[in-house]
Amino acid sequence: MNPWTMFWLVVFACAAVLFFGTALVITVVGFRDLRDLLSNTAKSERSSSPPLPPPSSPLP
Amino acid sequence: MNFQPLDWCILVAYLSGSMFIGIRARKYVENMEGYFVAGRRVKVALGSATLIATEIGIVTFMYFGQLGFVSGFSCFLLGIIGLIGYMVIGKTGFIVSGLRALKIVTIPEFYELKYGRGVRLLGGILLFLGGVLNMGIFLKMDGVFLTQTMGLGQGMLLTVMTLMLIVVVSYTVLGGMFSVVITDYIQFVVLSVGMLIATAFVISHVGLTEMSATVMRQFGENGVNPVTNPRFGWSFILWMLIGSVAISALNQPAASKSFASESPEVGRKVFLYTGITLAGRYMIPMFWGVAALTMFGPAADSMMAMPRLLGAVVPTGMLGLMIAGMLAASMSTYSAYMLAWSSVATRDIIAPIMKREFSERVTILLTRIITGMIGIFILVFGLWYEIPATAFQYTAITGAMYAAGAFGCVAAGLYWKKANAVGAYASLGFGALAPVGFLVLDFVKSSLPPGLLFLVDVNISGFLSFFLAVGGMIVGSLLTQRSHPPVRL
Repeated sequence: MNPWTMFWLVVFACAAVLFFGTALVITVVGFRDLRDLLSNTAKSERSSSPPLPPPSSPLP
Repeated sequence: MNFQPLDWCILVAYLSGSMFIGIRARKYVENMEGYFVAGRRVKVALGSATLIATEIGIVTFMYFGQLGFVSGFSCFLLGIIGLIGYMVIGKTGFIVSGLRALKIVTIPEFYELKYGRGVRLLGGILLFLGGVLNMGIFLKMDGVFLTQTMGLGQGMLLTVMTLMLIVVVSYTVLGGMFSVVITDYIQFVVLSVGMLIATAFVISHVGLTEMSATVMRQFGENGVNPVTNPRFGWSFILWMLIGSVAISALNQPAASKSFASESPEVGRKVFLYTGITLAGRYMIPMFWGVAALTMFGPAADSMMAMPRLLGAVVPTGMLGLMIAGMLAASMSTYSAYMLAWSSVATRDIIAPIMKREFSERVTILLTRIITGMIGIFILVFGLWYEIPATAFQYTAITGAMYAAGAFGCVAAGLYWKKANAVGAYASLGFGALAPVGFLVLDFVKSSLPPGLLFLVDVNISGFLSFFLAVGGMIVGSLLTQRSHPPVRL
């Protein structure tokens, strides 16, 4: 096999391993990030909604 | 037909699920920041997943596959150059951290802060035109890919293109950046699995030794040496080296992902982790292209060979999963691009022309209408336009139309004290000159005098665009320091 061809195939193999390896890590950690994003957004929505009116006093 | 009932079930289940989730994400769009930049709450891993999903689409598989088919292994160099570009940004935060710190939504907003409203308008127009032209070929390429891999035949091209457009526009219009981020994550996972399946089957059906022999027989040294390959050469390599940094940092859809990040530091890290995967993202479809050349020979259509190969080697069931992965890749690309260009049109073109600030409700409504219009444009353009060079070179030259000027304006604006409005106008104008010249002159190529033929060389035009943009910024600014004193941020 031509040395240049060998070089590109080795580079390709490294690039593919890096891609799929990083993809695996990002998939796992990204799921946690996504869960945090949605729960934080839901929390901030709840806190920005207008407060309930104070209950009317039972006393005269 | 390659596509069997099991494949259809997988595909329909994926598409329905994806649309359902995208539309459900509407409830998170509480305001304009939520719609455009997901409330700026995105962390590193999620940001990386969405950026990678944005940067990979069927169109990227198609143009890299075509490049592998027509140039052999020598195009793998692009993967290394792209990796360098992203790593430079990821390590230094060059441009992206500075822009994220200013809390802008679109790049032309930076032009207004630094250079004034006129530059924002010009920059917005160039960004929008270049971006939409760049997107113009996406739908057709996707249609070709799907009809070839699924074995539907060319007669179904328009139907496939239209269906795909409807799905993508629906959830982009309804959900905004939240829907983009959520679906991007799912799409990232599905597309990674799809790429793994496709690569495994390609390697098992087309041997590496056979591929190497085909490349040497077909191209000789040009198939492994990018410097001697007539499609590339030094002008191409230099253009790509500069362009990989500029386009990576200033491509509005990618930049939007950085603007959506939690902090400038997170924005920088997103580029770093995305960069690690970049060489693989480029080289895997190129590899499929070389395999297609080996399997079908040089007489096959360079655009259709790679999807034909995947349709032939991936078995039933796996094919459905792989196509779902590829569609996933494309849907995230479309949604991010459409959202980016429509937000530029609304905020940086229409608002400055009307000389008023729109309410959040009007801004989101206008953005949704423009997204629909962009969809119709790319459908018509894709059917009508004949690409002048390889598809990759077309996307690179239309990208240079806005990225070259933007690079001059933003890099100088952030890091050079003397950058002023005149330099910015010159940078944007000169940066767009060579790519526009290339696209227009290509129509009259046969009647050009020999001395001007270099203008229709896509590599020279691409390189010139960056050279002229930077030159315009430096000369324009230095000559007018007194009349137009620079604004400090």
